Amino acid sequence: MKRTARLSCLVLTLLLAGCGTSAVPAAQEGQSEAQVYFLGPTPVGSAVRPFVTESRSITADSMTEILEELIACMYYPRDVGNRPLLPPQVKLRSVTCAGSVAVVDFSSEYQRLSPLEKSLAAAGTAMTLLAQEGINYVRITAAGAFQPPMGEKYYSEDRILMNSQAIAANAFDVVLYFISENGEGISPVQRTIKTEEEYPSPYALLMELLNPPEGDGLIAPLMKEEDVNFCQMEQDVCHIDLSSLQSGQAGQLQIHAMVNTVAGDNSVETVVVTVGGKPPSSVGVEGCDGEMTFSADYIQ
Amino acid sequence: MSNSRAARLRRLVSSLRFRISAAFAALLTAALIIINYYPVQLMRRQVISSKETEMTAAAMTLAAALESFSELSSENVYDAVQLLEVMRERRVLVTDNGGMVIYDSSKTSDVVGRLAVFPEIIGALSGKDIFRCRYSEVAFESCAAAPVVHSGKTAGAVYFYDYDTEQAALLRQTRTDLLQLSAGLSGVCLFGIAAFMFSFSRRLGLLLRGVKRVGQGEYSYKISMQGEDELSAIGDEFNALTEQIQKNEEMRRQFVSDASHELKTPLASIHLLSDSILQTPNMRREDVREFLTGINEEIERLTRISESLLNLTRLDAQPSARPVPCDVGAVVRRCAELLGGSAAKYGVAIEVHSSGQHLILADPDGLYQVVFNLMENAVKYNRPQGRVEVEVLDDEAVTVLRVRDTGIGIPQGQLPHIFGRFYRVDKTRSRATGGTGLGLSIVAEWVKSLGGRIDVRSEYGKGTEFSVRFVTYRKGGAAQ
Repeated sequence: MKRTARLSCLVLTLLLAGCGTSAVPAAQEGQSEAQVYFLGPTPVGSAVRPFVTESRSITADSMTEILEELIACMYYPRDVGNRPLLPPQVKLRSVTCAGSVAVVDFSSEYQRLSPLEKSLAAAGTAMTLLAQEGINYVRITAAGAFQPPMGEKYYSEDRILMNSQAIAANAFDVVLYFISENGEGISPVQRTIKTEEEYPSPYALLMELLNPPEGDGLIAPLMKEEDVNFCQMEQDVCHIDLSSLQSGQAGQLQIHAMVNTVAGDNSVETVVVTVGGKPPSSVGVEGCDGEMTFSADYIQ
Repeated sequence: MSNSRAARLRRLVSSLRFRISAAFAALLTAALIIINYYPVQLMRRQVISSKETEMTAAAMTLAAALESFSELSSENVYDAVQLLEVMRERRVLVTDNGGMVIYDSSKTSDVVGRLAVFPEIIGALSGKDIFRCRYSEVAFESCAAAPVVHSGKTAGAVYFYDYDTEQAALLRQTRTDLLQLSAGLSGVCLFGIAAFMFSFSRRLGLLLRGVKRVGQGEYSYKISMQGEDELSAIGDEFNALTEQIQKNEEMRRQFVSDASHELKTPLASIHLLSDSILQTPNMRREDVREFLTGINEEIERLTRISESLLNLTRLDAQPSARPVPCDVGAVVRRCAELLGGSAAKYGVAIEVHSSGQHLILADPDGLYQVVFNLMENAVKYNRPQGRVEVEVLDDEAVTVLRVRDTGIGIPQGQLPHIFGRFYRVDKTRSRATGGTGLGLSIVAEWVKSLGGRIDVRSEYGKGTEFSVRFVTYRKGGAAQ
């Protein structure tokens, strides 16, 4: 019983001590902190290991030495369960820095790795080095030869997708305006849309106008995708060029529905609508030439 | 101050109303938690499950289709995706065996030519089928990845990404609907509980008030409670109980009054006789003797009344002794012998009709008391040259004792009262014959105690017949 209690105390002490040491120590003078990539442990309910980073204090002075030290760290994960991305047989031959480009040359054993192992090693190395200030591009070679998957191309942060966030879709609540059933005004409709962009573009909003809500009797201001020749932003002004437009009040409502929809976006202040490059008055729609802003006049 | 508050709180917490309300509230809360939690969880699981089935199947189908190509290119992947129509509203990535993206279905931000080392793609390139789904308030974000195997080697990976806001909105709506439903349900239930507790408290208060009033001696108090539930049944039982208590109380008062009256009469006679002796100087010795004889008779009467009262009190208070088999015929014959002298004095003939044994299970003293009192009454209230017939017979499982006389009879209107204590049909004659007015009461109590039944038939001026029925005792078995 006493032994168990003593053992428990010892384990607790070690754990507490471990907690203290596992915390990232503040970099001392002449040292810098850097993140080194590894493969982490498999999370519960998952079948694959995600990328994880461990913090390291780097003491080297020159950039080349720093990069060498970082790659040397990549062979030795500290946290239990982490795995190195570089196999032990693959040795670092040299690291060369030229401006913002770092070229890492591994031993010829690198060439005998499987394609997946090469990708993991390259991605891990590149991401570790790219985290250093001043390094924007990394090239990986083995015994002086370019290596897949990038070959002679450089690795940069935007060329390596570490997780699905890079392609994740986003959802936004937007207000769209459709022409009311009686054809005398426009009505707002709130809708959640999803987009692969960081923010829904004016073009994406216009495309949403192709689908009026079912059962409300609302009419779409655009009939088909081809109705929009282009939709471009210039500063805070959105230029929309249409291939066709109805004449008279129907055309006015079409334009106001589009302008209110696009101008509801904070980044768009004014909208200029043209039809085949000409102002709307050229097709019999009055009062809609030039820059337009959000208007509540036609809202029902 | 705080003590009284604590006491009030304790009383409230221990009250039945509070406990029932708390139980209701706890049940309601549990039900609402279940209603709000499980359906949403179930829906979420179902959505995730259907996503897994659908997306894994799509990824595996595309991967299988791509296995036929010796080399993956954006063109042949595009053709396969279009042919299989697996894209729908999902984003599809296809990588080579190193994770380099060679196809992306996105029109706005494609990532072709980039190195995709997502955990799911790494898993697929390692030969595993992967599915992951994450639910946020906005969307179900799911992805599925499958390896593309060509000639036994992993040639690439297929990755499907889906961002479903519709199902998430549906789930959100369901949750909102359930919350609204719960709020409505809670309101209705709380109102129901409040109404029930109000009614319950009121009715419980009625019962409590009734118990208090009866406890204070107001036996005529009645609880008026509507409905047909358990509380109403308790109210009815309570009313029946108080009615019985009231009757008993009246009987007790009547009995005390009757007993006092019965005791007072001989005492008054004794007082009168003794006073006469004391007040009359030089009273003749014969007269004194006569007066003292009268006093002695009254004392004997007092003694009889006391013994009879004691008998009744014992019968009321104690259960009879353990019953044993008794022969009714033998008891009848013994009583006939004992009453022979008295019958001769009145000029009454006693006839006994009994043959063999007629066994019943009874307290011997009780049986004797029953037979003796009935036969003694038949003799005492008979006419000169009258007849008393006593018959014992078996009627199937019942032993019947009949005592019939040719006496004065009892008027029909008085028959229901003859077993009452101190009730006399002919008061003058009863006292003259030394009756106490308790004989038939004692008979009725004993018969009841022995598990029998007594009936009386009488024709005024002609005679009376008492029939007592006991369950016959059979040897080797219980009384039947």
